[in-house]
Amino acid sequence: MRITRRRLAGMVAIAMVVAALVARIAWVNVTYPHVRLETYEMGEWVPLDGDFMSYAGEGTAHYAVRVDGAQVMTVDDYRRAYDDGSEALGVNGNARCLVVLTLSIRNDGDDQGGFGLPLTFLVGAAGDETYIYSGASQYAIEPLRAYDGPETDDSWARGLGIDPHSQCQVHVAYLLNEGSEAVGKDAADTSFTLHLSQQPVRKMVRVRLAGES
Amino acid sequence: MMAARMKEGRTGNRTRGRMGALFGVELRRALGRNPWFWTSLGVGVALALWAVWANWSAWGANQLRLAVESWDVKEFGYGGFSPFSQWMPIHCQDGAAGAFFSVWPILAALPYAWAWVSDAKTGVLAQQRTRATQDQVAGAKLLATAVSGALAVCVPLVANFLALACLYPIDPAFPNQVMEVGVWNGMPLAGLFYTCPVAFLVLWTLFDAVVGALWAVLVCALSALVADFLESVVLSYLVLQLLAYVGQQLYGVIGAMAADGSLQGVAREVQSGLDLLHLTQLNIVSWPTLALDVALLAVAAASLACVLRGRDVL
Repeated sequence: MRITRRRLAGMVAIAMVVAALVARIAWVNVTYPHVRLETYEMGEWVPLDGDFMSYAGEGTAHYAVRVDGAQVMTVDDYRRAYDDGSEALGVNGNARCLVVLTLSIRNDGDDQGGFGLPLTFLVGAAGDETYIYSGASQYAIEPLRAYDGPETDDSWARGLGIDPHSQCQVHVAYLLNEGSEAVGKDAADTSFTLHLSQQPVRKMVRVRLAGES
Repeated sequence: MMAARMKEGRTGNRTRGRMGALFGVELRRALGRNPWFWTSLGVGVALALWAVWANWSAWGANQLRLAVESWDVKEFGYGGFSPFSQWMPIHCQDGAAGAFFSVWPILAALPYAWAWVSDAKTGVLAQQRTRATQDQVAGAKLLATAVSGALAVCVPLVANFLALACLYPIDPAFPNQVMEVGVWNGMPLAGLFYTCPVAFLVLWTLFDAVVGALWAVLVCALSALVADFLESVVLSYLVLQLLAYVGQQLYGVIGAMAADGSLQGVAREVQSGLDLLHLTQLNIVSWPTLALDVALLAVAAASLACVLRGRDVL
């Protein structure tokens, strides 16, 4: 094929546009910060190291979390196993709607600190369904408490925490994020991703239900 | 027997070769110096770039600045400001993007769906028919029409994504950022969007290309039937508008049939299913309904295309 001057000019113009596009896209992606992603397995300690769910004030600097187990339960079974017995049974149906994670939480710091446990969530295997922290967990997470230190500018944004240099185990229930209908639906997924922090590093744990390979 | 097979093979090769050559000619006519193709592409790309500008100037620039400023202080749904989540088929509520998804049937038909009627009037069709069979002529012309229709729809989408990538950093989005992102659980390919956005982008572009191609073929065949291109464009577009209107009315009627709202899902499905006009943008619609829409479009296009086979111009 004969390359005419006009065709050559066209090719040069296209090459310049492509080069400019590539350069601009590269510049944008080098200049702006990126969320780093870290994925852990069940049984592994996840150091939170200041990474937070919603606010840096959560105080996660010396916190670490480990997923010890996962199971699906009905609301009543969950309450029988982990509640203080004050909640009425038999009013939430028999759907196995709760995904219950057994979490070990460790605070290696010298003050209470905390992390945004109620903001943590699970993502189902398909990738588009979320299971959010269920209010049914309120008694089961009793070892954790709100910030009770001196008032500071960011104390309102503190997460839930435990005593300095201590460790506890809690059973946290997650429910499909579909409003009031979620209680009537069985949790169909058998594997999930637990999101423990969102920024500056998004820390996730691969979770499998007990008995699922 | 061997000789007969060889002869058959040679004839087959010749037929395929003729069809290929004819398709090449038609493709050059459809995409080369065809002002209608470039006009359609120009309008589509202009709307796509205008949509980027509107998105950026109305809120994107400010939100991204806030997200970057509070990078290590506050979670801001950073993944919501990526070119994937701001892409036109997802963020189509703004003026220019909305306009594109309202006029795509015209943009798809404009480049080459007029070819059959025009060539029949000027005698080009009869001339082509002396050198090839009716099937070959119709096949080559419809295939070129399909390619031009597909490009008219998908090139603006690619241009939109590239322009967005020049403004927003490429970061993955997560389903908890759905308020910023707008890809809801239940939308087609929503899982893929969150797990592999590049694959989502490619598949949705291909889907839109297929829809654009089918629509262009449908209009081309319809124009042969009514013997007027403009009439066929207006008629087919009005049918789309009518279906969307009927869907909207049925949504209200079906939704009101159950006071507890239990039929809302069915009502939405019926509305989305009938709203072929907005088929190319991401809606809350189930896969079976979406597949049914595309299948209906394909059957309509194929049925009308069969009419061309029976209309020998010689």
